[in-house]
Amino acid sequence: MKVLAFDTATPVTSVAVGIDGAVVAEISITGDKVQMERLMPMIDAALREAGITVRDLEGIAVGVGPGLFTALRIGVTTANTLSQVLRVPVVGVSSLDILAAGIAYRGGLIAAAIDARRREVFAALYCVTEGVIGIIAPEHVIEPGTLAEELAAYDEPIAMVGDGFSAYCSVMRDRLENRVTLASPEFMYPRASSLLMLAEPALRAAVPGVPGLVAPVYVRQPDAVELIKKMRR
Amino acid sequence: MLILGVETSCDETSASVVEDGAIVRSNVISSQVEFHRPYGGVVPEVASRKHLELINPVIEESLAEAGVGFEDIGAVAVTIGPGLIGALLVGLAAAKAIAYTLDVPLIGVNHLEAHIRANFLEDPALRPPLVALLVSGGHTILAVMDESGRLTTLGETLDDAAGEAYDKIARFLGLAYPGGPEIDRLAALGDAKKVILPRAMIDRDDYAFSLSGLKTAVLNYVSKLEKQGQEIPLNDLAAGFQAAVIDVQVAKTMRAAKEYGVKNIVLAGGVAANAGLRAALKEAADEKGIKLNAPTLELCTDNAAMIASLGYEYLKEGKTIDMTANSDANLPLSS
Repeated sequence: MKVLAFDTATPVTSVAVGIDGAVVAEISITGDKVQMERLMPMIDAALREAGITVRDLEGIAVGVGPGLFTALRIGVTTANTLSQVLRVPVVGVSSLDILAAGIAYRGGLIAAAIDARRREVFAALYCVTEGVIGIIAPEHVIEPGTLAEELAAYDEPIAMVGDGFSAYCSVMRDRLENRVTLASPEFMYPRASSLLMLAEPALRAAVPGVPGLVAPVYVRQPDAVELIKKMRR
Repeated sequence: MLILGVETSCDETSASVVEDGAIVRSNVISSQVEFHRPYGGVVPEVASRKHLELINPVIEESLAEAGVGFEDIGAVAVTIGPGLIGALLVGLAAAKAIAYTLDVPLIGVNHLEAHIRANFLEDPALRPPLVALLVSGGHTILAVMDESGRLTTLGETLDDAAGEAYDKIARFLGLAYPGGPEIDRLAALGDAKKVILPRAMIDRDDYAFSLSGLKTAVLNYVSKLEKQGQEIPLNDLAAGFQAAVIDVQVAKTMRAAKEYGVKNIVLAGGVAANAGLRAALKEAADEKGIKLNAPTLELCTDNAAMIASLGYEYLKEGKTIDMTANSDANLPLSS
């Protein structure tokens, strides 16, 4: 199966092409607000390096966030539209799941966090048992200090992954000390190769030839919606 | 050649199939107006989210209505600006994915120029030179198009756009959203002579507009009556407000037509649907023997048919964009 995978939820845009379960090309580029200019050329380059064309694709996988709203929409719209034109299935995977999958080999507790700006992070907690990733706490938006309290409830060591933790590492260390370890920099953003591996079973199970429509996971409501809710209270 | 047009610059998600820039095979417009009504105006983040949900079904429907498939599409034309950046990016992302997969040209269209283009789409006999009055929720622009079709901006609003002023006044008066059609409706029932409001910059010999002073005048008028415990004559106030807006627009448009010696005036943009404006400009133009074109209501509103149609002209000139292109929220009508 020939699969194109990409994630645009963070300032790192990552694109990969997989053929029959193997990653044959992967490109990642760091830069804020560059997704529109870079994503399609990166897809084109990855397909060329993989030696296939867009017409050969049999499935699309996309990171659905949570993360940067505008960048996320560029990725998800691109994925939905490729699925629509090619008439192939599309699968959305949480960008926090992708982060956790990148360091799942370590086993045990894994906390993933993506910087949500405004001194908050999008976070989720996972437990890897015998190679299987289970979700303990699903994605939610939270202040770093409160997240540290949440994590303090667990006695085991926790591996932290994602730019939400690189931004607030000292907050975590102050509360959790050496019970937490920060993943090394190459794992700090959602990699399209990890996404490929996570999405492959769902793509194989999907009905071939049927396009899909994937929705981003925003977690946060638009500001105006929150404002109206407050006014009504 | 069939061109697929994509338009997502504000609160309408639209896709259209146009043949040879002239025959509209389909023009699907999904309005988000009900989603923005609780806020009394377009909320950019809400608009962007809705565009993402709607863009693929709307494109699918535009193909089905035209009775064609993706394989029949010869080029993709998409609005690159001006507009809400988050909204524009959804349309451009979709358009890029289609053009890349089909391996056909991608055309980045100026939304404002496309509004003017809507007049040519409906009246193939229309020829420049002409003066264009472009009035919408985001713009109030007076422009001249020379014989070759080149547009030059003569003047624009220094503060609020026409549609913006209508929405703000409507919100202030507690009228239904969107405010334009509602004020237009009430104005037809009222007497403009009973509420005289200032005609800003009507005597200035340039083509600039200003609407914020008028807005303040309405606010002052209402608070004065409220203090006196009097009822607000909504219909007369709507008529007075609308007359003040229209008088300036008509006067400046007619002056431009005279200065540039044109025999055609075109109206364009969402506010071009305003019955009061259409009637007043028609009357003034008729008096001078000038022909006024105004699009039908479907082509006044934001729509992808005008994008596909103008895209065909761009393509003939070789004006295409590539996969590195970006949207431009502040793209001007003419540079």
